Amino acid sequence: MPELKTVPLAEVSAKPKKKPFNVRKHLAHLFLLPAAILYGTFQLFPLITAVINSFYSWDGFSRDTFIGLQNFVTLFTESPFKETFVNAFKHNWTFFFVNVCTELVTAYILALIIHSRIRGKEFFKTIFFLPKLLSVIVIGFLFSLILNPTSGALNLFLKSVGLDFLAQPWLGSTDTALLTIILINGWAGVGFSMLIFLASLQSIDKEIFEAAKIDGASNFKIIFTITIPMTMNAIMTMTILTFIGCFETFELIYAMQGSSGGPYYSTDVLGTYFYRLAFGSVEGGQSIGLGSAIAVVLFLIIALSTAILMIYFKRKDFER
Amino acid sequence: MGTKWPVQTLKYMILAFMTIIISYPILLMINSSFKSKLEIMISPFNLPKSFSLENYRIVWEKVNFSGYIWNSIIVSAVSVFVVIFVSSLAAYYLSRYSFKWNPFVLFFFMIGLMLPMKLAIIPLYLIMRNFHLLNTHFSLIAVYVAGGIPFAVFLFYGFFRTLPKDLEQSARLDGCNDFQVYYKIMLPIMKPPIAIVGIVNLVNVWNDFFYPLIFIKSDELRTIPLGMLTLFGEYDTEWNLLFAGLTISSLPLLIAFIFASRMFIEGLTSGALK
Amino acid sequence: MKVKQFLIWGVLLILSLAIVGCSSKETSKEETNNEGKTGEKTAEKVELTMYSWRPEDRDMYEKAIKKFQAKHPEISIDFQPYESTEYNTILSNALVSGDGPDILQLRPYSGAKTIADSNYLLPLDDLKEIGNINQEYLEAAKGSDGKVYGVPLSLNSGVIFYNKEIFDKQGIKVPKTWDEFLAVCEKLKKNNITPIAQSGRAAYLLSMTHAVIGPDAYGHNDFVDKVTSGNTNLKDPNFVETVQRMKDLEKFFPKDFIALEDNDAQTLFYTGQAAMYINGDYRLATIEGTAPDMKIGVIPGFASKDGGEPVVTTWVDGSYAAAKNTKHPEQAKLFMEFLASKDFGQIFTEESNRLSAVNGVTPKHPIVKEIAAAAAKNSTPYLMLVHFGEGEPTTKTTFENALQGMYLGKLTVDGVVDEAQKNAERAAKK
Repeated sequence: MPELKTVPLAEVSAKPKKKPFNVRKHLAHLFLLPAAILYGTFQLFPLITAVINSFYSWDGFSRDTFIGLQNFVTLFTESPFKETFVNAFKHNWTFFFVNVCTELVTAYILALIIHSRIRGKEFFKTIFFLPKLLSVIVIGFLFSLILNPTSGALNLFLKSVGLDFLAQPWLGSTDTALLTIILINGWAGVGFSMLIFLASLQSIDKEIFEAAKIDGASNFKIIFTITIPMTMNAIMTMTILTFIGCFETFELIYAMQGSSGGPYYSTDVLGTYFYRLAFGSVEGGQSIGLGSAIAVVLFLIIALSTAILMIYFKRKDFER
Repeated sequence: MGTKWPVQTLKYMILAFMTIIISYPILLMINSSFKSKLEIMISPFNLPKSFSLENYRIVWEKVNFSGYIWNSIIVSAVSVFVVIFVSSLAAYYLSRYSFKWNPFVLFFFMIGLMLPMKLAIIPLYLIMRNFHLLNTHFSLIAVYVAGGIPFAVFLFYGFFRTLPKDLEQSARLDGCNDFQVYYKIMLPIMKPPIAIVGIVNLVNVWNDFFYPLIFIKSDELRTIPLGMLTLFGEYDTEWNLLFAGLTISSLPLLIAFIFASRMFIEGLTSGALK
Repeated sequence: MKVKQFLIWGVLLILSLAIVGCSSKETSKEETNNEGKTGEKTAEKVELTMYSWRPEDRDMYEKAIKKFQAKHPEISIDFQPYESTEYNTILSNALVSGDGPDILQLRPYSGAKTIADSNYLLPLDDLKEIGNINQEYLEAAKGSDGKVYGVPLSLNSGVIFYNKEIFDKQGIKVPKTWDEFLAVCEKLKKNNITPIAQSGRAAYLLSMTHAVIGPDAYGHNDFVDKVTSGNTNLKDPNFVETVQRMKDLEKFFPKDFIALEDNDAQTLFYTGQAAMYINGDYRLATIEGTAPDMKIGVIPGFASKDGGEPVVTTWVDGSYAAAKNTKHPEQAKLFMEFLASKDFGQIFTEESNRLSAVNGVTPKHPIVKEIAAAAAKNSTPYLMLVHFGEGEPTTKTTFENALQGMYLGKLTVDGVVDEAQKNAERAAKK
């Protein structure tokens, strides 16, 4: 039996049959098979079913009749669905922009610092990555305590250094709740992003910097004219991953602010909106059809935007 | 050389500031886990008056943590191993063979990167039921593997494409078959992306509470995050116990990472994600 | 070497085939099994699974199950509680897939109705002991077809807990009406004690408070009747008045209360920083468990006028139902009978210090007794929960989130009423 596989490529194709079936080449499909089966069965198939579900009306838990795009029409034209959708959609965008401006920028700066001449690189790399290892349940609980308006460490600290006016009910105000959650999200992710940027920085040929220095370029100039363009690939990868992450975001908000995205929907995102519709609140209020419709819209948003981002970055890449 | 001391000072200040912000919540958790409930309320910031493992003892007795940790280890280890194995094979296939359908296959996997899996929970549950996988560790492993494949394939594919083809050509001339080429030549130089895929998946699997919540019913099959939810449900005002429980559940990963960080960071920074 | 590789491949291939192949076969086998077993009736050992959203009641149920097993040693019950917030998700999945438990806890009113109407439950009208339970309570566990699908567990009341020591020290008499209540709040505030330990991060606690302080403003059951028969709606000035009351209470709540959790509010109450705490009577056990030395009293509700009787806001909490596709309907019904019996009612009330829904069960705890006596005289339903639990989202959810919005300055009193009424109309249309 094993001989079958050991037949050298040359021998098989040398046989003068009409259509030489390249056994060896086609055995290679076995490489693909396990991944394709697992992924197809446990990911793609349920997702397709979810898409199909969005074209049906639901009576409680049972699929009723095919109603075409009606669920989508309801979602975008009827109150309060359309308002809730727009509200949540905006928050997803806020999430993305603020996250890029805070987490990614911080991560990049930290990567630059650690890449430079500095002691204790390993220590800082390890410490900064640690939050990524915590579960959202833990993160949510810890920050709820730290941000508690009366007994939380942050407000007590602010008051003790005389910055009373800065002490806020962080998670209990419509002005600050979303921002706070985004920063917590960034807190957990900054180390990972930093390591990716660091990897990219280390791949740049050192001679380029030396040459620039000899030419008398300032550090700032080097960063903007050499470093950033040379690490564009990593920046692009992280921006796209952040985008996908921000539109899929759900768990942290759910763990900290509940499925309503409180207070008063100020942290509501498409993920929590989906969850509410698909599983209802404590009293009920479930609509699997509408929930699935949001899922589909969410997918379209992510797929289209990712494609646009990729094309945009590719073009930039090309110009360079 | 060229760097002046004010710049260096500024750098260290930024690093110190970030270190405090990043480690404070974790230290708070560990520190509070040694305190009594009263101590947490009265002096939340001080070090514990006495180093007592009492909270740990109570939590360990009340919640079946040893079982949960064992379950988490099994599920995580198997999932991570299978993700790495099947994804690297698939990525090898995509990057090294030129079948006509390869772009479509790649696209097929990429779809999974963009889809929030939680959205498909109801159909997924039905599949698990039809396969009689509910309330088994296999159901968890199956979702985690399926969920981990797109990212892993994406990463491995990118990595394989950067490798020169001569490497395997010479191996083939030496009489290696395809699997041997993968196994003997590719795998050993794949450590960096494996480290990334491994840790990213390990973190996701270890901390996920959504799927176990829905798929697992017997107490003896539960994983750590579920144990934590039980803890929150039954002792929601016993903060000392909560802190101890949270520390127990986070510690395995934290310790594992601190020991393996050098390898992982090397993996990450050796340019796999260029 | 080569043999080894081939083995790996073989195993892989077989595995992947097995996943696809076996599964479909087993499904059909399972289905036929199901049909065969339904008719069977034996004394063989059976195990019933039971879902609940109250992990904190585990000890009570274990005691009750022991009592049940004394009579029916062949039936064992596996009590599986889930976190209340995750319960619906888990239950929906289990039911949709037909893989649910034998016995499940139903959310009251519209929650029960949804599940009953989807045909997942066994009707219990002919259950032997069901007569032990007040007709009125059974409303919480009926389907649209009017059949009873669940055995109600308890009658909850929304009450105001107060710190007796603070009241004594300040020379405050327990308020009987809204006006007296306001006067008490004023006085406490003047003496630097937070009058009400309210929290608002979980919005449902706002509608709970509304349910306790509101009914006498809208006129109790008369208004409930009018609203349910369609003779008036939430825009009724009397109802608007109740929302206005919520607004007026804002100054008596803790600072930044929208950022506070129920835990924080309880802490304020335990530590004497706040004098009153509004929640369901089921919090009594929590309070006594955490602060056993604290002397607490209860204001069961307000009377409409001086010298009148207080009216207690009550609602039926969860009820237990038997799943339609249980393999052991007989045994499940036996357990249902037990849940409707006085035996169980007594265990329930003694272990958890709550009012049992079973008639003739007497609570021992003096405070529970007091609430029970007041509720027996005059009670009014928790309006939002009982009559506005429908729609996607439910009107109750909309209402409480709107209250949150009001405290955050996003909505006016009329705005809150508007949002709720709009949602109610939309829900009614469907």
